[in-house]
Amino acid sequence: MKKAFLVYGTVISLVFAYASYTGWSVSDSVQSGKWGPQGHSAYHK
Amino acid sequence: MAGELPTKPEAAKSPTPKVFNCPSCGAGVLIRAQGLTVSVACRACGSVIDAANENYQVLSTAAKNLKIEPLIPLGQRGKLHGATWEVIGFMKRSDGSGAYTWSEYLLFNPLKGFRWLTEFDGHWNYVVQTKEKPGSETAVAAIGSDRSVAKALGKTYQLFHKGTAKVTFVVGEFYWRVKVDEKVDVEDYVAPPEILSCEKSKDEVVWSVGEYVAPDTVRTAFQIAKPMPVQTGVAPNQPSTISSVAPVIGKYWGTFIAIVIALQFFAMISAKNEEVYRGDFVYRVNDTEKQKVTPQFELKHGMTNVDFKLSSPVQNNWLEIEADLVNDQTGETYEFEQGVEYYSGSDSDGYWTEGSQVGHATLSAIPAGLYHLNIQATGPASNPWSTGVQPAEQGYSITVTRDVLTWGNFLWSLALLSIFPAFVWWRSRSFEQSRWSTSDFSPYWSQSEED
Repeated sequence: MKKAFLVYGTVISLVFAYASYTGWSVSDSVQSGKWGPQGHSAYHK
Repeated sequence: MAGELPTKPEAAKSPTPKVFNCPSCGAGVLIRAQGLTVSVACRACGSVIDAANENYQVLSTAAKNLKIEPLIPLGQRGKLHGATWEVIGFMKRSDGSGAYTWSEYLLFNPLKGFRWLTEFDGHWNYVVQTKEKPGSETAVAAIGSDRSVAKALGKTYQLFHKGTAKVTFVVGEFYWRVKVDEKVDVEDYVAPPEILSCEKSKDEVVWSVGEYVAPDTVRTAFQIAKPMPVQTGVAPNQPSTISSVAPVIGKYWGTFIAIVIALQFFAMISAKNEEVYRGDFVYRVNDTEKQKVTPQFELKHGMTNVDFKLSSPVQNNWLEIEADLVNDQTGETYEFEQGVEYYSGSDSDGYWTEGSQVGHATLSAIPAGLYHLNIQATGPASNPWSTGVQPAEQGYSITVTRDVLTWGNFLWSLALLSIFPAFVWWRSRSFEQSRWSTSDFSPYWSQSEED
């Protein structure tokens, strides 16, 4: 369980670092259902 | 498990078993730890016999209708904790109310002496009397107050139970003059998987340390063929995998949160906030050409997010745009919508406002390149707050900024990182609450419950 969380937390941190670097928004991906930087639209009100 | 242990040198000898006739019923009585056994209970009639001298006086007789067959028979040998133990005594004890009963098996090894194996509600403990008693000041303080602790063997144990224990049935031999109905005051302190017990009688105070043993370990060790007692509830010192990993998970969680905060701080100070375009427009209901096209602008330096700020001095009104960000080199289009609305007025509570004259839309992961915007604005056909119908005309401006700081990813990371520890914490807390549910000293009781 400790190892699983270590891996999980590392992946989250790396994805966050990558998203910060590329400007990729997790929220947009959740709304569009598509993951990763792919040039889709986003709508923030 | 009352009674001081015999001295070690005697225990180190290998005693020869001895048989004599029960003075009460005449049945053969076997003494396995001769020289160490002080009393023995006849298996046939239950009489407790003084085994310390050759007269074999009957110390007490058992109730005729009370006959309990131990799950592990006397004489059964088993290997536990690296040594072979023989079961030489068995007793049932109960708490002061008689509502809770448990079994205690006295184990004997000629070289190692005596140990106890206890069973309550299907939970087993391997118990060793300890000569290292908790420091007297700590012990006195612990015994005198609720929710107190006892410090012994380099550990801190939390008070779990305080009450009395009464012997209700005995069979086999013991290293003290055991008697049915013998009562002692008991205090149990826990530090899973251990339990520190103190038994006080008029003559002595005995401390012992028990370690939780899995039922399968006991069954395998003593080759128990009968069904094992069904486990119910959580034992006071039952170890929990999830409770033991919770502190480590908590440390990892803290580390990851610190990393994410550091990354967000870095993003905050490194965000360029580079304005690449600003344009002013006017929305008119009667415009024949609804779509506005901006001049070309450039997004430099690789993939980044882009913020579109819509500003319009709307008053008790609204404006909304639908826009396409078009890559002039690839033709790829990114759509977004953004609106602004702002209302104000006065009522009995005074002046009020609602909404904003500024709105932001952010597109993520936009590649570098040359772009333009196609913008189509919509608004009310008339001003709903004025009298009569009049053409609406509303100015607005759009500002395009690349590489802006956003908080969405940061909040998502915090949430995703916290789900796992929150689950572990919840499971651990549930387990601990179950553990302490039978204790009068539960740290999970609120003040109001206590009152």
